[in-house]
Amino acid sequence: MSRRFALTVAAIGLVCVLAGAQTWAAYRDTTASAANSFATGTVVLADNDSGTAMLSLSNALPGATDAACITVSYTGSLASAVRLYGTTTGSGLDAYLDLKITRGSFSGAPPAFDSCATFNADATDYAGSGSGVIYNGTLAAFPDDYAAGRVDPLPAGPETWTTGETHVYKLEVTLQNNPAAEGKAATQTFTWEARNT
Amino acid sequence: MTTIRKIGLTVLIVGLVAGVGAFGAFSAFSAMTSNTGNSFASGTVSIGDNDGGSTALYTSAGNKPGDSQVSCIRVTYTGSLASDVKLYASTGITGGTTFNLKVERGVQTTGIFPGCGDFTPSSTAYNGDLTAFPTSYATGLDGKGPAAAWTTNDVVAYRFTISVKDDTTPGAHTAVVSSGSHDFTWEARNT
Repeated sequence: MSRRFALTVAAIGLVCVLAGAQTWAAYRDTTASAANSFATGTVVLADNDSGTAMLSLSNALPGATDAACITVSYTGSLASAVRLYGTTTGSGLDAYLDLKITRGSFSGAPPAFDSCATFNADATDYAGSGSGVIYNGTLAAFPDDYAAGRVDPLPAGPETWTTGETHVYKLEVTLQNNPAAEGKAATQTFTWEARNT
Repeated sequence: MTTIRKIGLTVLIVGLVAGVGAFGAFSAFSAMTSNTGNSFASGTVSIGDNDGGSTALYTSAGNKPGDSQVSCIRVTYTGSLASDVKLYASTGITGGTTFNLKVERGVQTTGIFPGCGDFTPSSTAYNGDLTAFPTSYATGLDGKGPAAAWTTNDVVAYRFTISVKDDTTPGAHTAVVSSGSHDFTWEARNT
């Protein structure tokens, strides 16, 4: 009888010890650094073409030309540099197309895309090809990617684009007087890419 | 067994009667001795830092790739019990793979929070995406090296370097990317 009682007591004690081992919390204390935060700035570049092409020559004769203007606006919070480049497809007409890109602004209210009415070229002769001209060469020689891209407005003095900055670019394309151009075609994409500085 | 119990009970009863009788009837010589002043007290677990009350290590906006913020904090253990200390962050960190956080352990004696003057690194506790930083004691980073307990007056300095990773994906940063507001906690638990 008393042995059973002793065993019971022992068993209860053991259960208590086991339960204790599982539930006793250690002492704890903490120290903290609160409300840390880190955020990025933005790089945002847009144009006013609403996704439409700005240059077109079809069934063109030697000397045929087309010109159009596009407004490029920067609204990012970080200062950025911009480069121009673009990819070409087609059957090789790009070797016989001359491209001239002039940077400037509209003197009054901006005309509808892609008109160049009231366009004024920048006064600076960036590339030795006239006021505001930043590229003057064949379409084939126009750079295809950012790495080789044309620095706006010139490599030696890249523009630092800041929020709210806008520039207008006039693109003129002219078909050379060269019989080898006959029957060829080209399709070009022009890209302005901003990267923070 | 039964006999012994009976004898025991009898002795107890006799003793009780004798005691009662003694109170009523005679005085007696007595002597006693005591052991006084016994006490039992718990140890302590106490940890603090030099940020003047939970000040942030970094708060910065408008950052670009390569931008970083570097801050140092010293954590001091003053408890009497040996403890393990773990470092972890609060939940709710955002920003995907945009931000990299590096946390180094080291020694600093005179630098004033959040400056890193005279900080000398000894080991790297963490170097990776901020969003992958541990967020609980169980998964927390060791305050010292692995399995190294903290004892009274141990001090470890930490250098936090948060930076923006490069990302030239076109259009990936036309909107602000934020880490969200988050806390870092050093928690000590006695071993």
